[in-house]
Amino acid sequence: MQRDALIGEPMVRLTGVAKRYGGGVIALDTLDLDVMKGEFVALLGPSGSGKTTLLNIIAGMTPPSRGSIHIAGDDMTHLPPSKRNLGMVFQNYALLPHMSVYENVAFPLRVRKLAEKDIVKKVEAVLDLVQLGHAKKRLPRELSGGQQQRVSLARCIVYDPSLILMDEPLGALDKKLREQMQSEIKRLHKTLGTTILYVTHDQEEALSMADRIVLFHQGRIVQQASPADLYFKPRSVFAANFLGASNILSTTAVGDGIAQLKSGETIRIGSGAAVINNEPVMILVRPECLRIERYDETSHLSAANSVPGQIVSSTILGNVTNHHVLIADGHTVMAQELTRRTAHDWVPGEQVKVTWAAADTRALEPDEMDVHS
Amino acid sequence: MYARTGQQSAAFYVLPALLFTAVVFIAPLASVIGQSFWNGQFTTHSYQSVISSTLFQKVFVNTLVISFSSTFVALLFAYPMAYHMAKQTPRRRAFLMMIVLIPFWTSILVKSYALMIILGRNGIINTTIEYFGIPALPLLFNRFGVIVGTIHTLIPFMIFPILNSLLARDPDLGRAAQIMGAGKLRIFLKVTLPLSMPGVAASFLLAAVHTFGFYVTASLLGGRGDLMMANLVDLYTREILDWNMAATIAVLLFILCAVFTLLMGRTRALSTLAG
Amino acid sequence: MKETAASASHSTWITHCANAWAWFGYAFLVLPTLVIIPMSFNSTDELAFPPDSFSLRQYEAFFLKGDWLSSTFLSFKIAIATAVLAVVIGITAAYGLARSSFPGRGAIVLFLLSPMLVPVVVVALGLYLYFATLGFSGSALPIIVGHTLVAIPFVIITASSALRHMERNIESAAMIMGASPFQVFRKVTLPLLRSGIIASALFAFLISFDEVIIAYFVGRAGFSTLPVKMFSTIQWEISPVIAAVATLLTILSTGICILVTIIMDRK
Repeated sequence: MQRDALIGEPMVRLTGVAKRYGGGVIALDTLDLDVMKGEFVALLGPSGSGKTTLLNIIAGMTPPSRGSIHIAGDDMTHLPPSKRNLGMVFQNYALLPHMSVYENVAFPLRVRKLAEKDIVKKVEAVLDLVQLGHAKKRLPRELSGGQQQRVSLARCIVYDPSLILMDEPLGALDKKLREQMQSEIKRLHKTLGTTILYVTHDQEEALSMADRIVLFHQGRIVQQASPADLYFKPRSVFAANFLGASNILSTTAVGDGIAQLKSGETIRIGSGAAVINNEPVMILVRPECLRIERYDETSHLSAANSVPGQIVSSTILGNVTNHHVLIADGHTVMAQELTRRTAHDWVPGEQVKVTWAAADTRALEPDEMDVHS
Repeated sequence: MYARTGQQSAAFYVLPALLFTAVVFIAPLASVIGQSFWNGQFTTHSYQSVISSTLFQKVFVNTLVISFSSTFVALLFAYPMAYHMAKQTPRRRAFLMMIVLIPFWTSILVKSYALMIILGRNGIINTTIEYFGIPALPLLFNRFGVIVGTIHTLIPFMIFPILNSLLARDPDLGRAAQIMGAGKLRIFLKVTLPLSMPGVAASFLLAAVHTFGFYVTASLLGGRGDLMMANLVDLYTREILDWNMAATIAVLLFILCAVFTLLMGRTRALSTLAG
Repeated sequence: MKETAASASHSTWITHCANAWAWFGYAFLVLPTLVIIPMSFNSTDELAFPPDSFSLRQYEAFFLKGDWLSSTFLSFKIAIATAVLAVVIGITAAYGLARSSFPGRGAIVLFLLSPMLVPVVVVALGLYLYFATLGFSGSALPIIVGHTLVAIPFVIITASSALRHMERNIESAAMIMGASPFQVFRKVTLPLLRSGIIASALFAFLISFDEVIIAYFVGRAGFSTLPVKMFSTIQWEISPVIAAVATLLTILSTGICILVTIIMDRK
């Protein structure tokens, strides 16, 4: 109807949604979330963080304790799942085992009472899109896991739902197939412009696929940002730890943008949370930002942070090599560099210094749960 | 995690069964209870005369004796058989399951008739022992016949719950005990047997209550002195034509079963059956 | 060392004894039905085992003499009606119980299964008194109703376990795709329950076909089912024609058991 008018409006608007179970268990704390039309949003978090609960609330399978759900501008809070015009892809495919691939894909069209010739046209087109035109007469159990998941994708896109929910859709596939399916889903998203909400606990999957990542922890949204921003500008210790590898140093703020390690070295902070003098502050440095230099070498980085340390181990993981270094304050940090033949191989026990730029140093907010406890 | 919003209406699917059970079960049950107090006028006299009647007292004792002795002997078969089945490979167990299932689903009349052929005066057993010069034994139309018939019906009935509790136990428990050096017999006595006791207790009481209402076995394989309560209900209904007495005995039989049912908390076991 | 070896052989001996006892039990279970079959080919009316000579005389008697055949047809009609009624009522009830939660659900489960807990003779007397007041005598309806009552708990238990093992996301997926609750039930749940439904229908049929007490109490003249006719015949004489009837009943129940096993296995 007023589709055009909706562009720029959120496709999904969650307002004050919360879910509590009996016995005071909070599955989801009060949260607001907007998803724009055509956006690919990943809900990322460890298991039990509330992301699947949220997906079930949006689908209408679990009623929220509070709050409202608007989809395409309409209040859906009290509508049954069948009236919400959504699509959902499950981890275990949830195909109808007694129906052929064709009938599975035709099912949503049949319950919508479309004319038979329209059904044929749409189903054929969608099956070609997921490259399963040849398998339409087969039963789900005769297909591989990847093929079954493609049928389940086809079954969603065939009726053009306003939003597709995906609940760990690739969790049951092996690594190689998973990567293949990731790019297939990306391709479908690009060609069709569908809005997708994608639940995963796999950070790489979220980073590589989503336009925006919503990070969940203990029933709350801790941060939402683009993959790059979430990686480079994590707000809290949890966000920094959950995405990518990280070195987190505990320091004390000693001035504006300056902190001090327990062992006395001062560290310049490039970005992040505001720090208060004499208060403890957690500092993030990504492993690939650390450089290891000889102890006696003069650092050529002018604004460099530099901490003395001792090599613990060096491990070649293929194209990258990880060095673990015990630094002066007693913590072990990891430095990652591209593997290459160098004039000097670091040996365990060797005295070194670890340096990095102030711009790569980020002050983190403590986790909220730490505040509570 | 499961759909509720769209499926609250699913509760209405229970209505036909509720209606049917109310009309066809509760109403007749109510008419039995009503009849037990009705003899042309309201009366409680029938209860006094039933309880003080020597025939009823004898039949009541018969019922308890036949039920408990049959259940006990049946358990002596059912437990080793269930244990034997539990140890088999799934394929062999499926075969043995058939051996147990077929008699379970065979008509009680067929089973009783077959036992008449086996136990009768000219039956297989007596023909065989007479061949060896041993005088024929009275095996049929007496207490022995009733008990054999009841055991035959109860064994499959008791095997299933015991087998379930044997299969449900942690299969690694036995192995763990074996690794620690316990012999097979010790494992059985210290691990398997205690763990399967709830299943045994449930199946024992379930079978006993089930037997209280037996009718066909006693009337075909027993003699005049082996009447059970169900036979007495029939006697008053069809031969003496005293519905008041028949209903009273039926109510007492119902109460007997109800008491034992409550006793074993079978009610809870049952509700878990249907989730 | 010695002691361990001794106790090992000791427990092996016990194992052998237990196994032998179990096999004795299996033999006791199957033997009676095996005895029936040769008896049904008996040529004389003597009830001796083994029979002296073989003939089809008893089957001839079953098919041609008396009214064995009309009783058999009556039993078939009643059993088919029972199977249909019990499955329709039982499956819908099991679905309602499995897919909803409401206060007092446990009590309702117990209520629906309670006909299993009450002695059949009490139910039979109740139906006898009840239908006598309602005046349904001279019809198969009271028998069908009574048999359905006894069969419903079996159907509910069989279907409930099938429903519990069903992949639940399939129903959720269908709902999200736009299917109404009734469409989910008809197009998804029922087809997935198919083997459970067939199995419970077969068992409901068998329960009714073999049932004696209710049919004996409630059935009137001209309405004696096969088991009732068999029961009253055995009470008077141990006629060998019974062996033919018993053999046919055994074949029926064995056939249904095997069929159900095959259906459940294929799933």
